[in-house]
Amino acid sequence: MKPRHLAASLALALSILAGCHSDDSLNPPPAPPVPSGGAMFQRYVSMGNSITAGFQSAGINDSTQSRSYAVLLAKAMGTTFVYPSLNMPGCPPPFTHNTTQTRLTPTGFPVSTGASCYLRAGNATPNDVAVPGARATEILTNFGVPVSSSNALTFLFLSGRTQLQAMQDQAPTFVSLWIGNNDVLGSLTSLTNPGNPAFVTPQNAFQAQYTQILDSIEAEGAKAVLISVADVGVIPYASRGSVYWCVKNQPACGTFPAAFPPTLSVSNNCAPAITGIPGAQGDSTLVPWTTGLPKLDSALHGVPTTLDCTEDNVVVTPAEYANLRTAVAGYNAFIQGEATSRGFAFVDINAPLLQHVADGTIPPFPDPSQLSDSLITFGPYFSLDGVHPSSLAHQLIADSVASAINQKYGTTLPVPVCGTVICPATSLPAMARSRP
Amino acid sequence: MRRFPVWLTAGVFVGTLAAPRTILAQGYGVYEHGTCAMARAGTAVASPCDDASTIFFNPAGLALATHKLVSAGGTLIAPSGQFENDSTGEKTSMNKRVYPVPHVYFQHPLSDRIVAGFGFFVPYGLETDWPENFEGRFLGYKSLVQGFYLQPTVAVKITDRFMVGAGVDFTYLKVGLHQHLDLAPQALPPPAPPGTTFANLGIPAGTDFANADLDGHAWNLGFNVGIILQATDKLSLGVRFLSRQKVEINDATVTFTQIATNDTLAAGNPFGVPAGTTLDQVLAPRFLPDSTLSTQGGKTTLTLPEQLVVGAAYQFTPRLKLLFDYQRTNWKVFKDLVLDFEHAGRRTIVEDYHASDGFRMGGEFAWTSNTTLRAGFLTHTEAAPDQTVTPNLPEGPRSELTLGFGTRLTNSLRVDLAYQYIDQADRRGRTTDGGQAAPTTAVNNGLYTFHAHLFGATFALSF
Repeated sequence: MKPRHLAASLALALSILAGCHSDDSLNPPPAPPVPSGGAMFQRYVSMGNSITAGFQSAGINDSTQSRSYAVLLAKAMGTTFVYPSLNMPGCPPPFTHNTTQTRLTPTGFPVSTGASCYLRAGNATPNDVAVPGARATEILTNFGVPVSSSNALTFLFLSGRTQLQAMQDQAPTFVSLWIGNNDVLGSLTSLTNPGNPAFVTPQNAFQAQYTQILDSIEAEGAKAVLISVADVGVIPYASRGSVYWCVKNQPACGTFPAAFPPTLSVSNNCAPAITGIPGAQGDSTLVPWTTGLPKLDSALHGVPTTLDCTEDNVVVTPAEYANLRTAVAGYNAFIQGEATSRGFAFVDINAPLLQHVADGTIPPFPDPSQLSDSLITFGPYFSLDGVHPSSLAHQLIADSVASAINQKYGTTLPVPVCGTVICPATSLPAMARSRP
Repeated sequence: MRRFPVWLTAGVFVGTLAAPRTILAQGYGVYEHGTCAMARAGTAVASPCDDASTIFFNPAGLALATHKLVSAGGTLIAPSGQFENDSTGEKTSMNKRVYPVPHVYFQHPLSDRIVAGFGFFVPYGLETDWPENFEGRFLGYKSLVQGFYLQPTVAVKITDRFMVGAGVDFTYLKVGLHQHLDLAPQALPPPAPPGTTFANLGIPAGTDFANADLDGHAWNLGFNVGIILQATDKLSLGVRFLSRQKVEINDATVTFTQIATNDTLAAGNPFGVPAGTTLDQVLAPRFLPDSTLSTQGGKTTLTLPEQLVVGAAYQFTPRLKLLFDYQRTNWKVFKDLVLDFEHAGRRTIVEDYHASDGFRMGGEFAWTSNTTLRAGFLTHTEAAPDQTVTPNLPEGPRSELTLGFGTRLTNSLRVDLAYQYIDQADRRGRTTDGGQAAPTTAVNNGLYTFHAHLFGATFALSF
């Protein structure tokens, strides 16, 4: 090749090489931020039932969900946490008035009922996989026999998966588990026979189900906190028959702001044992407000009515109550034992509950000052259904759980949670109370 | 009271077919329609190769033909593409395939100044082929465009230094688009409030429930014209214009096939069906004849943009020629893609392409009297805007190197061979529309990488 030809060829080659551009810099995916609470909380999943889901006042929506202890705990952890946000006013919308069962109905919306549902705001995969109504078995299957408590929210939250599958899909590093309340609560809240033993999950079944859940959590390599089952005798949904008797017969065992109407009779079998009345069993009989209140209502409207503490379809009889307490005690002993043996944190939720009963912040029901067609309240720690914790109670629960986690794992989650991190106001938005 | 069981048992399913994006673009426009020109980085508008490929590159060049010739060949294109998701870091590669792109030409001098010819080439004809489980499958996992051009051409030597040529393009366009449908963004039928989708029932994003195969074809007419000016004994100039073609595909067929979600519904489900019923059973009626997702007709219009190429060739020495072409492809015509389906309604995909510019530099050196060495380099800008880089067209600016040679096997038979490497700049893009009718760059969720190896061969027989 002649030199000038070579030079020309070289020039061409150089122009080719010079023209090669470099690729855009490859942007590696940013590493997920380490939660402020520690790497253990990188992927936090909460499992449970209505309490963990954020159910309040017999309903659930984004406002109540955002106040769940699980959401608050995630804030304390500083981790990303998604709950299956429900459109306002809810699915179903919460009570704005419990005795009339009026539900949140924003202006321009049809009147809300217990069947109203405004679906989810989106379909993001939730970290809060808890489903209202779930028992231990519903963590494992949506097709439990003989009766499943699966419901519309099961699909909305999990889309055909079980809570267990939803938890596994997240490959969690930390799990909170609060399950078992509905394994006894279904018995307490039965409208046909409160305390029905048939609705209590047998110990062996509960333990088998709970064990399977814990095994699955362990298989994920996750740490966990286990929360005990609430004592059904503590929540204000049901009050002792003796409270009715004492209000009716004051000042025999105390004084109250007002008296029952003369048209309401309370049988002596509802009296407290301290009265020495033969057959008195009021201390060990529970009267759900859902059955007690209609009697009061009838009496207030002039219809002679009697509360009889042996009426099985109205009250939780002493035998039934004992059965419930035995079940809860058995569940909790097992849960605590499993937490110990597996190295998980444990929270005894009943200790603070009993403390609040003792100090009167969980008031006895019925409160005669509320005995009219007015709104019935259950103190600052329970919402309008008497079963589910209020927003304030969720904050206290979050504190208890955070403390237990810190104690077990040596973490430094802030306690109290709210104040250190920004929590929603304990009062629900005005819309939730705007239209009785 | 609004109850979703009512919504889902209502008769009409307002499905929205998330129609795939175009697969037409600079990046997948094919320019390798003659191996000689391919080895020179496609520079051929001012100085055609002697294989009748000038019928495509510049019809005016046909006037330079002095003998009958038929040539045939093809280019094998072996692309490699990958997408890396920002969040998950997951990398997915295109299926490894080799795509042949054929070309055939014939030239026949009618007189000293008039030459007729015929060309067959495929200026638009590539596929994108991702694994069917690729995260971008809801935009498209496999897309096909084959634009077959049949071009009878006549060229006239007006003077010894000025030639014109023109051809009519009988274009057969075949389109195939394949995608999965995501259940989550599908609208619930009335009386569900407008805008309510299956996502509002908690259906996760990325829930496959149908496969959609769209196939269509159409004929169309266009033209290809050019001029060549032999400015001096060494300098030649050329211009070519390939017309825009708006191809209306009115007889497309779209076939929907149900994909099992494997969701079994529990008691109290929002569809109001008994526990144990599968979600697929709930959706199955939508696939029955005359339903929204039945096999149905469709129509769309694809615009093949015009190309304007100007170039120069300079004979530095009797053995060395250097060439330069500038190409403008008017992708601005590709603003959106409208798909009309018989039952599934209309879907408009916003594309907002812009014109692209290509710069080609090539050279050839007569190594011996029978053998010519060739090389070239080209670069061009992207046609797709930053918000429209999708699995169907993960397109970007490119730089390409070419090498090749041609040699005479006999007095009448010649062969040209070429290799080309395409290096596409890594480009951020997306695998989803993010639920937006006109997605922005905020939806981009990863990085597309792409390169390709091309091998060409053309045999030319003179007689």
